[in-house]
Amino acid sequence: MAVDSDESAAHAYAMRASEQAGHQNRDGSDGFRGNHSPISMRAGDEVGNTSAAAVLPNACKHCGQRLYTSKELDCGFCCNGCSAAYSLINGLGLGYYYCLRDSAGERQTIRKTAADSQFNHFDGAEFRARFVRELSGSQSRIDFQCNAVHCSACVWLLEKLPEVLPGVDQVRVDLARAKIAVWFDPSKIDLSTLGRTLAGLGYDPHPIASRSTAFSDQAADVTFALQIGVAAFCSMNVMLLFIGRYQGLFSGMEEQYAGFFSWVSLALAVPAVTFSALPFYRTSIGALRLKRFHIDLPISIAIVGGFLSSAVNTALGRSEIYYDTVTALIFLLLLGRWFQRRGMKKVALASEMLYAIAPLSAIKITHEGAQEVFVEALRSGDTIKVPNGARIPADAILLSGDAIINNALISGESAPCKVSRGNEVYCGALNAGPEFTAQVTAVAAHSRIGNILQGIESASVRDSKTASFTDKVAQYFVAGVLALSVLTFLLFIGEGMAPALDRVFALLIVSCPCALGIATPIVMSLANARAARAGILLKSGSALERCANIEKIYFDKTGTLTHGKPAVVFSHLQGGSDASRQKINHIIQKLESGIEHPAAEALRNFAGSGPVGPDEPELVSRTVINGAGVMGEFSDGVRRRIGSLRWIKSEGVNLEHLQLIPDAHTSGSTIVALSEDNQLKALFALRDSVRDEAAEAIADLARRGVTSGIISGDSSGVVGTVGESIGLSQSDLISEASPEQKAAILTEAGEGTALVGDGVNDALALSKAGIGIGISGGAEVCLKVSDVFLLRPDLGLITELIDGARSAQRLVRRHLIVSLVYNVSAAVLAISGFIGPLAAALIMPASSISVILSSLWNAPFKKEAAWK
Amino acid sequence: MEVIFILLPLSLALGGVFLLAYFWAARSGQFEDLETPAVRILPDEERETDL
Repeated sequence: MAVDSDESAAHAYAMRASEQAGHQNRDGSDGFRGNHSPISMRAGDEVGNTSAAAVLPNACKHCGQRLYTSKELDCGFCCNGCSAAYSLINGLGLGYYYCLRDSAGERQTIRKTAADSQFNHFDGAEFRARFVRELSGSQSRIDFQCNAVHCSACVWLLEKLPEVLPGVDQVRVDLARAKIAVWFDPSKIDLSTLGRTLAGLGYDPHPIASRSTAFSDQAADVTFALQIGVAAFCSMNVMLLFIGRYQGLFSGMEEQYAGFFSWVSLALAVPAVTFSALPFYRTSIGALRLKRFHIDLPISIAIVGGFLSSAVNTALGRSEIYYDTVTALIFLLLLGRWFQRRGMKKVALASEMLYAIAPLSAIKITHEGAQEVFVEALRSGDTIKVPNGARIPADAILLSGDAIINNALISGESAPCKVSRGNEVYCGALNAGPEFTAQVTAVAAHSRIGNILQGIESASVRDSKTASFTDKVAQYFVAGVLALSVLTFLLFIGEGMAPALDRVFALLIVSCPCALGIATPIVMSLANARAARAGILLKSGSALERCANIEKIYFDKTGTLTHGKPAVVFSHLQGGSDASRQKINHIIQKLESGIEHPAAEALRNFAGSGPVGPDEPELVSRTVINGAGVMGEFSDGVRRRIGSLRWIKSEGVNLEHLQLIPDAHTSGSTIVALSEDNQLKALFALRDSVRDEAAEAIADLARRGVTSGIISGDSSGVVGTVGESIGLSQSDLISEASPEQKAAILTEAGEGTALVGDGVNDALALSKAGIGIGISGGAEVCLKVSDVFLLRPDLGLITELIDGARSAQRLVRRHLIVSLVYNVSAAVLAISGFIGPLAAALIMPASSISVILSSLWNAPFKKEAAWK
Repeated sequence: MEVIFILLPLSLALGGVFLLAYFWAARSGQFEDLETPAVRILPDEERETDL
């Protein structure tokens, strides 16, 4: 994956990558946790390597997926969904989209969406209240997250919608964040029509709540941009005037001009002090209320004091004025804040996270029949229907027979489990078995997953888990500066009020902690940007700081130390020739297509990677036997089965080839067989294998003095095997831990402990851990709650993170010492009265510039890391 | 040099106009999305397709 040098773009990519995995529930193409390769994308990559997708004769005209059979080649589409999307786009008169896409050389294929949802739940009052913003009587706005938006052709297609869809006034696409905003007239178009159209075009719409933090952030960002703009304007102009004044100090200046310049500078400083500097006042007052000194306190005092004393001196016609220093201080510090802000991600609300993982719609059964409704319209006691492959929309009691549920999202268990009638199923879990009905017991925020997410929200709201190092230093610094000021005032009060105050303000201005205010944010934001290029996203400067102090790392097993899904680790094909491999690939593709089972996905991945020959038999009918396998009748009259050994054996197939699988592959593996009539044709060993780099990464960590451990929801046997294979001792392994237990263990472990995880089941623990490290391919919630997010599922990044964090920490400490020397010597000069306005104006930027240059020169995280 | 009493306010007023233009641009959301406008202009005039 290409990671943009711009860190915000990199962030957006991460969001998209993780959301693709997190949103699988909605497009129905794939339900297994942690996957990031729906079958359509994989096949597309193959095509994309050669040329633009739709240009190839054997690629689907809409999605560019490779076509296999003669029937598909005849019509030019891989499925009915693509055919429908193609005729919809052409029907709307937007066929030019395909030209644009192909001429852009767009390699990515279109992700397919679920055609089964009718989006009727988009029309409910509860849905409107949650997602739609009414702008005026005839215009409303709704925002969607559409992860399929990825190129200029998408922008063109979506922004053309107002011309072809009556009632839609305007569509704006935000490519970097994969968001679209739609302005529409609710009296002319139903939201369900809009939803269906977007989904039909291939952009599965995930609505964004109208009270989402994203919107309040936007407003805050605009205000902040205005504050910086005003500060820049004021400080630059004041500086210009002051160059004239300083010139006048040497060569003489007529009284009338000096006075005029002072008054104009005063006028220019007013907006900077009263508007731009507001953030500093707010944080220092906020901290004072909590009985703490914040670094903004001496800054605020210096700004206000420097301005007031200059104003008084201007009125009295004296030359001790500091407008240039005050305004430059405001501008430079705001710039530092802006750097800091860029890398930060705001706390997500529990309700937003819930929508990311739980389905938005539910099928409610009333006496009038089944009806698709918005989840918030469900009440306890309602009866719902959950089809195969769908996520359960609420906590519920099973009414119909047994169900096969994949709880991976909640508990982390990778294998689907059987739930019998009368037992509870949880919101967010996947129905891996046949359709069932259930009675709702708890909805949304009251469900088990809702409770977990609320715990995460409250944990991340009090984000300041640890006071950052600079905050701690600031406490002493502020106290010291304030004490010195009082002392100076008392010492010189004998000379009169005015000279004493002059010295105090000169002291406050020269000792202003620029290294803390500017250098630290710059080191942090450079570290953030470079880390992002290496594949590590840091949520905040304090996260980086805490990473430097990691002593122990716990790994969640599934998806972090292991790949998180079974893969074919060994195959034995009867016959062994290329032709038979091609035939078996074809049979697997046909028999396993669309089946929601980890093993089916592993086999599809295996088959998709190999060649497929022409003129293979067509699938006539297919039966899926839950817990056993799948059986199909083919056009050549042969009955083929893929499934568990036990089932294949019970169907009377001879299993004499079993010993052909080496022992190394049978232990801990699931063996799946493929039979033709009663002949065994192929054997596959499937296993969730440990990542290749895991053992090395753990050894690297140990060399840096960081111990590792496993904390997992899996059984002790599985955890033990994995732990042993990567060289961990039994005492470092914690197994069979529920999400709540994990969180408790990590809360107790304290600041120096990190957790590496990828699932929703880790999310609560990630938010409670000293450092939460989320890994790509996991759930979106992980991205939202973790302090650090790895863009590549590569454990080597963790050692890189710790190295970078440690070098950042060293750099920040060195700057503190350098600037402390500056400040102390300047303070001594100020107290003894040597420093006038000119000297103060020179020393302040000299101190800032030297630490800024040093930050740029020595930025942590190696540049070469980007090219690894 | 008395002209400075007129020129200085004038130049500041001119600068103020640009500051107001920046205000308008920031308020109307022009700095929110810096990537999409670059690709929005890419498609040429629409032409007939034979796809």
